[in-house]
Amino acid sequence: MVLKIPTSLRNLCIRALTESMDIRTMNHLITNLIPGYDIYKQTGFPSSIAIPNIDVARQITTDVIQWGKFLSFVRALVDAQDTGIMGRKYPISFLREILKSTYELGFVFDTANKMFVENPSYRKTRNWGALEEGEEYALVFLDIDIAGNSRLVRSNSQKSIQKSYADLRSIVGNSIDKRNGRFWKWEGDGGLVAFFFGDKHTAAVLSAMEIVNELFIYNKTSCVLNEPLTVRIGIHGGSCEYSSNEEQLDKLETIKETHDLEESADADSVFISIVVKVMLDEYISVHFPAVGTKKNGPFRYVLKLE
Amino acid sequence: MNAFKSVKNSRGIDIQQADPKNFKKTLTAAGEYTLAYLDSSQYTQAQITRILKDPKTGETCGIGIIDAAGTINDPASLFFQGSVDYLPKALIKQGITPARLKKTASYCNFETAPQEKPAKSAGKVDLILSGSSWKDVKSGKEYTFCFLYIEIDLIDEWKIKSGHAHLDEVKAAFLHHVEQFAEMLSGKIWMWMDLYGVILFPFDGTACKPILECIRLVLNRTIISAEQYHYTTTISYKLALHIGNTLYRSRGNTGTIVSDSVNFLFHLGHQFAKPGNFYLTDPVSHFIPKNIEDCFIPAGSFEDIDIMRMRLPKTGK
Repeated sequence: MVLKIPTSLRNLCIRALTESMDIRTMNHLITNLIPGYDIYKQTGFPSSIAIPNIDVARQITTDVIQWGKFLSFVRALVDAQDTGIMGRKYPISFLREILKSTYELGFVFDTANKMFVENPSYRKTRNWGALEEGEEYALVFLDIDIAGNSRLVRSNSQKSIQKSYADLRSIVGNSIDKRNGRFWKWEGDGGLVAFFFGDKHTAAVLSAMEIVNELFIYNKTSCVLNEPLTVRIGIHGGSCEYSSNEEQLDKLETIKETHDLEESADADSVFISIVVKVMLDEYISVHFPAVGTKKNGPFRYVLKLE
Repeated sequence: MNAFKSVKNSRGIDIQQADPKNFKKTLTAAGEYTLAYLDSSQYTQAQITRILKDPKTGETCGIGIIDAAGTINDPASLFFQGSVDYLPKALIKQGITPARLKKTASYCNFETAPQEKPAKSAGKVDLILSGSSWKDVKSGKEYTFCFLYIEIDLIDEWKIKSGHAHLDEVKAAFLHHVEQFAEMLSGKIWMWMDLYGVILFPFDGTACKPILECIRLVLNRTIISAEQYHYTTTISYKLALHIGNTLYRSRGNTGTIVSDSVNFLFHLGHQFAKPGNFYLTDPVSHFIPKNIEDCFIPAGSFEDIDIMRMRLPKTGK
């Protein structure tokens, strides 16, 4: 992702590199980040000439910004200080100031995944400002669909249907936003949500439980349809190649399996796969007994009062 | 107008005929709580629908439809759209009586024509409303409030095996959670004893907002436990909501307050309420939102006040 980096931050990075590392170490840092990076080729200096530190630092900083690798570069500086390069830790000058400026750009550091992600109070993009096109990631998906939608559309006014769709999106949005989920698809009567950061399995499951519980109250107090609005939810996780092209999503195996799980779910219930179930703490997992006698799931949550 | 001949001569009913083209102007001039009849032969179906669905007429004006020619195929649909009366051909021929119009006015609730929404009865409580916010609540005066008793259900293991440090951590987490809850509803934590206490909510006599949020506290117990408490176990609490009167003083200055309502609430919490349950007393039950009533069942009485209990979610079924 190419970010607009203020000149002051750019200059801080140049000074940080110049004052914290020699050229050899800078080279190790940048080739770890961008394999095959050739400082001589980039600066235009002949390989027989010693390039001044500051020129190397300036070139590296310019290139990482231009190539959309700035956040990875800052992470590499953090790693150089905390973990080290080739067995040696390097205290990085101005690292605190660099991190502060990066936060001000709207990014926070996710310690679990050791990467910068967008601060949700600044912006919410599909890929959290972090996932790269074509790269594989472990994600958890929540697929939600209105049960009996065709019947509802036939027997209610267009105005009531549109309001109900908007209300559902709001309920789902409120639930996933606080758990850092992202809409990958929304088609009015349902959609697909992705979770990547933190305890993503628990986040997806708690979101789904909250959606079902909230719809219970919504149907009693606010629903304008001539019958309750009910949904089917499926949750599954797995490896997935990130694509910003929505049309490619339906071809991805994990997403197809999530959709199949949702379609098999009963109205007003959440079905989760074994992949998700095993990742839950017992006090949450207990709410998802197996459907029928199948040991490998799916597992179902439904809200029932005494 | 011949159909309304007997009404014209009746005392207490003022009747006028108006040009259909000036419908809106006539209605505005007539003011609030007017019953208006449209002659369906003077309007298209679309015009009638538009008039019936206009939200400005809904609250203070009732619209009836006159169908002298018998051309409306589905009179019931007029009521679905908001009409309050339908006068068919046969009735027009007979003539409309004053009694019929009074019945229609009663159906519209025009007889009482309230100026403002009245406070609902709260059972046996003498209401001294504290209002919808704290701005008019003065220290040293008595008011009617909505009280919420809340007590964390301490897990047995914690009571027996946990050291002070862990228990202090639990108390802090619980207090933080209760503070957030109270703030969301403009309530104030009024009396607090580490593991239980009372939140005060201003009460304006028309609604009891904490009811729905307490229902959410119960339904979302597992979610709240995971995200507010982080103890890999479900945290639950006893909740009891009551409406009553008390002298108001700010938190920390409540030691000398003598209030039957407050005493009752603490007795209810300590002696009657079971862990994990949400109770409403009779005064509160009058304010259960429409359609939510079936979430509550009678739970007997305590100190001569009827109690209702929320039906709890079933786990793993």
